[in-house]
Amino acid sequence: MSWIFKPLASLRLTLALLSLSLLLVFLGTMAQEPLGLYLAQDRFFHSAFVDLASMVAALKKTLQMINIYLPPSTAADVTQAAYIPVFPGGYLLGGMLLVNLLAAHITRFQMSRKKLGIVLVHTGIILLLVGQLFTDVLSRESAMRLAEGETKSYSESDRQAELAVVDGSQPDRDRVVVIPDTLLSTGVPLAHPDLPFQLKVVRYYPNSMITNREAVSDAPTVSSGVGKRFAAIELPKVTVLDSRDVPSAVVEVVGPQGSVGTFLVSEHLMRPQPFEVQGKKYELSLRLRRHYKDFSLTLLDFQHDKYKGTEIPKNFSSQVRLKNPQTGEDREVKIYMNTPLRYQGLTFYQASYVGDTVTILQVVRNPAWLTPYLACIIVGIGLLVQFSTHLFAFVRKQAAQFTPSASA
Amino acid sequence: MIFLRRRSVDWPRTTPRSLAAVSLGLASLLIAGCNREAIVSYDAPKDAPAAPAPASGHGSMAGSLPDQMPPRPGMRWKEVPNGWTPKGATGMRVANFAVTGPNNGQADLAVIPLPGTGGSDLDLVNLWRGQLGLAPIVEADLLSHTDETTVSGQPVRLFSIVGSGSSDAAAAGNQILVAALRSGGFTWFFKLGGDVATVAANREALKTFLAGVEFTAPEPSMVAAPTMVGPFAGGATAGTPTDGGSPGSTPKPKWQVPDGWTTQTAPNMVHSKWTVTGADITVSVFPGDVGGLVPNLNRWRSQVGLPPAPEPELMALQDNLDVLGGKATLADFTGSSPESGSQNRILAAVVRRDGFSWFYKILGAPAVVEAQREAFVQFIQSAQYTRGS
Repeated sequence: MSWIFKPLASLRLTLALLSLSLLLVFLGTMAQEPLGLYLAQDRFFHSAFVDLASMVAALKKTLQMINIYLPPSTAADVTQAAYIPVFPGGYLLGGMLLVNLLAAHITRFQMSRKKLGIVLVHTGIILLLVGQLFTDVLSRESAMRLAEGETKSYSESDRQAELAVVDGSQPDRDRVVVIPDTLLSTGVPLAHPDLPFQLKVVRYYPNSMITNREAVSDAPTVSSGVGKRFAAIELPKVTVLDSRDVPSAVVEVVGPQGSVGTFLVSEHLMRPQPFEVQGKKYELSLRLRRHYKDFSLTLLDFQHDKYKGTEIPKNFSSQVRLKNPQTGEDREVKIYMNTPLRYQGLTFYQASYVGDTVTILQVVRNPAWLTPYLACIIVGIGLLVQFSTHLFAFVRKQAAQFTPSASA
Repeated sequence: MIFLRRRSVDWPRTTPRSLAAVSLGLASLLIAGCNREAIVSYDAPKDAPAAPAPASGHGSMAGSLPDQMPPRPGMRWKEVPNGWTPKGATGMRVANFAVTGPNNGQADLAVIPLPGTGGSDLDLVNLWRGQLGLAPIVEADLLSHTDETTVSGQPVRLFSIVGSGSSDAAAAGNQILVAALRSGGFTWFFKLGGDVATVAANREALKTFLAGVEFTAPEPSMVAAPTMVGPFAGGATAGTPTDGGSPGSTPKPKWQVPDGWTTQTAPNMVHSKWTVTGADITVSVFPGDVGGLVPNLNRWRSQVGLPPAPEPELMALQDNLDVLGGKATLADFTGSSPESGSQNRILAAVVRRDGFSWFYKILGAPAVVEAQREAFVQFIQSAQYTRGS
């Protein structure tokens, strides 16, 4: 097996991978300006290869540093371009570094007291790499917006949507069928055993704005609800940090007896639109994707302090009541900057606010959140062990060298 | 500690299996992460009840505020240029003006706030070019179609799109001038469209108008799309009240709140709020006549899906209610919401006192409003206003 491991364990490969990683980080950072944070992350770091169009965008931006100005690439240029891999991406480089490290251990390192420190350092680095992969795959960020006095048991993804059909016939709870936005595409029929009808997406707009219906010449026919007066216009998808796509769709509800109605649904619209099938009332809406919890939070009070005479936030905090009917917990928690609430594997950070009475909590689910801490501790211990080993050996050597011999 | 004494471990023999296990684990993880999403169902607690659904007209469009977006500010302007006639709000437009030009040329200015920042400037320009039947342009060409101006002191780009003879016949000879201001989570479009001569003649007037635009505190409404706050619906001029304090410092008048009304926290720009099952009751107060009686009555009509009524019909309602110390105007409109199809009724009154306008409103299901009518009227009649309140 050594013919496999030796090349993989090459120190030259390590240096090449580290050099490419440095270059990747630099180019990925440069690409964030023309492409926006999320697209740049996606194309440079959350991918096996960087595509040609993204690389061109990054290089054009880089050339500006030496006063060479070329027409900058846009996000649309990149998303519409053919995918031609030209450079290793984050997943490939991270994976290769991991393999390189493991192969080095297999072929080169021998377990001994002297090497214990190095083994620990490498273990920490491996944990860091694997932990980052777990974080990428398993973590989820969402937000919970609460006005004072408001109670919620769900958070919402700010960049994902869902088509929700709500059966509110039960007095205490709703039966909800949700269709992720990734399944919404023009012409696709959607069905679920809980629904006695199908939903047909007449047209889907991944990013849109709403305007008067008469201003849109090619708006699909809508028979019910708000879409009789308003229509969506498709906009190019956005990737910049301070903006997001707001999807809309025209959806036809097709019951056993035929079409029940065609609706314009949109994240721009706040209220669900009602319809009836077989005597049962339902509500239809396109909304931010919800993540329900077993517990609820009620915002009791929101405090927002600014530095005197400025608009610069000094401190902002949310006093919330946490209620978990399953465990019987009912307690107050104060969430403020750098002091999040950690509960059931979720972390609630004080992220933002609106006015003086509305708080926005960032909700992070990251099962691998401990790995960077553990990795750093292990690396720290490894370095300590390694240096101590050398130090003690050196001291012993020195002591032996300067100890007067018995015959002297 | 025994293993530490060993000089070596037989890594090459054991680690391929370990490596395979790690690889398998990572592959499983990646596959798990790539799982295709599916349609799912679940039980969920009921959402808190929403406010009564607004209906058609300028206050009608139900719209969401994405969580990152603050409530949309109101808008007002300092002066209306000569030759411009305010037309109130319609649909998505919070303000409309009929604009005249040379040789009886016609154009119109629409003010449209949309949640979010929309697309890029290039996307928007190409959208409007499409409306005039023109081919899209590229980023490099954008500057040649752009002028600089300000809206409420903030620099914006003013885009000019002229329909050409080679484009759609209906669009030929037409021009659009658009300023787009991204502010507070909204994009405000000021769009002047009409025949080229009229639009060109009003270019400077547009810039003057835009410079005088002011944005006010966020609206109390939950609707993001384009509602025009009553006080500014008629194009009220900017400025502070000439008598009394600002609304924010206005003390609560003495009134007798009917039994069964549950006090609610009043949102911004609403003085007081109560609910009964199926209806909301609000009181708002603003300085001045806030655009006059007719625009405000039509605003209420629009909230129950009714079109604007002729001025004589509405003026006939003036001072039809006796209240302490004078007269008030009470209006009663019932209509059906085009969104939900449900009927809504609004009973609303305006009371002018000491330079302020007090707006009383109950909005909800017709039967509920009918049941509350007498109590609501008595409540208005019970109010005692103090000087400066």
